[in-house]
Amino acid sequence: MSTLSGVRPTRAFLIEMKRRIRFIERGCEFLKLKRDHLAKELTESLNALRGQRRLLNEKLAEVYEALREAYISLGPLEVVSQAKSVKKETDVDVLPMSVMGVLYPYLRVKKRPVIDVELDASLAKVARILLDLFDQLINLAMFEARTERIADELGKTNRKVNALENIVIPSYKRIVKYIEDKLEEESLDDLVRTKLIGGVLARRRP
Amino acid sequence: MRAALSKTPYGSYVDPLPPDARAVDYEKAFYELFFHRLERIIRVASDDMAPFLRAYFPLRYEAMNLKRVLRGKYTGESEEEIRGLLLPLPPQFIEDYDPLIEAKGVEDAVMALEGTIYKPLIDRLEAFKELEALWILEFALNKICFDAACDAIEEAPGRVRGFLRDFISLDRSVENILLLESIRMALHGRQIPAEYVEGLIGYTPLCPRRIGDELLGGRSLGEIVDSLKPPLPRILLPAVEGDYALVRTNLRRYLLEMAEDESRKRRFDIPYVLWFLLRCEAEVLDLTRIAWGLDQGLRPERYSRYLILTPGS
Repeated sequence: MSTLSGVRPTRAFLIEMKRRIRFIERGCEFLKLKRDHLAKELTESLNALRGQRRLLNEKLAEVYEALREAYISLGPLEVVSQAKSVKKETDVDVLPMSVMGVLYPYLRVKKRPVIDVELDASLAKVARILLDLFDQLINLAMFEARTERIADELGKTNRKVNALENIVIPSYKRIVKYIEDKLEEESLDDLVRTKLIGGVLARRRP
Repeated sequence: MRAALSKTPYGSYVDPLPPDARAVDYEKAFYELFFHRLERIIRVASDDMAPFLRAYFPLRYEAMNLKRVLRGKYTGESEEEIRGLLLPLPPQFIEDYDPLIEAKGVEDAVMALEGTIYKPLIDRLEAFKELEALWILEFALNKICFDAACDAIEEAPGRVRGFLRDFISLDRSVENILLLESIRMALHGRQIPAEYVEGLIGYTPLCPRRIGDELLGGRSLGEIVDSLKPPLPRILLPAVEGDYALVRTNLRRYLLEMAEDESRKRRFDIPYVLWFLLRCEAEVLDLTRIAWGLDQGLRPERYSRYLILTPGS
């Protein structure tokens, strides 16, 4: 009943309320379209992500195997020393991209790591596989961020649609019904009053 | 592992380690014992034996430490971090690592080597500055070790010179092929400036310059391994499959066999001492592998094939 407090049961307010419902219903339709599009994008992204992840996991398993060999061959101290000697020169530009108004980061590689130190063959193998994977890793990170943002936005949109469909629109409709009932009641009162007055006036006539 | 080692000579080096010691702490402890043994043996070795032993063992490890210092300076590691990666080797050809560790950069550290066996590094500074590539200095260090070992062979008695030449040649040849293969992989298709590599790789009769040119020229490792003289194909075969760790294990096993066979001919001569020290070194390498495997929770079968000393050897 709290939604009805402050409601003015007037015809002008009823028209205003009906206009608002139409506006909200149109907005809800748009949100549903956005939700469907985001769901489609998310499904496609998830499928692509799954494929990319599987390929990357296979390659990373190869990297870990090669790294294990390097540790066994050189010992932990030498591996740490050689690994630390590769300068950390990786640099990426993070640019904003958008899908249905959802912003996600697009990564553009500016500088790749360069190996200009002596690496043992076992570590050079690790480095070579990782350099091959560099673009795939960047792409995966980008895709994961994109999927995450889309999923987040989809959740928000879904909540908005549900709130509009189940709470906002029904409450507005309740208000409209309340005003219509009130107006009908008032018109009935007016009719009865008119009839009564008409009857009294007719009885008074000579 | 600590309990298993406590009743061995390693016990006194491993026991003081904290309970949460990692594989790197064990590695340093194992090397500490090895370096003490090495020092004691080289100190009492005869004048014709000591130069070769010193050039083959401590010089190699000192060069390794020196590389770690230069790498640290190259990437701007803290002095603490650089010190933490050094092997506990007593001073050999460098009296003190501190001036190198405290140097402002690679150039200052290299300049501090003036007057030592590592002086040729100073000549390579120009190339290092031009290419901004540390491998120039690292290769130069490898070459210094190789040249020192070759020079020391000339001081050894004539009866073992042939054996020592074969020994060093095999060791260097395998390391050269691994090095060239690693350059090929690490440079990742970039052009190698030949003039800078010139004179940095110690070619041997087993691995002549032709092999180096072919490897850097893009010929497959498999074809090259097939074209090499025995015993290189046997040792290098795992490299064709990409298992470089097993190549090192094969090499150390073969060098041990070589020294053992030669020492049977002449008891208590250089090959015998060399065999003993190689065994001690192999023991340290194996123990380090086991310590790392245990630290990582690996099943023994994941690393046991890389152990040099097999049961009963």
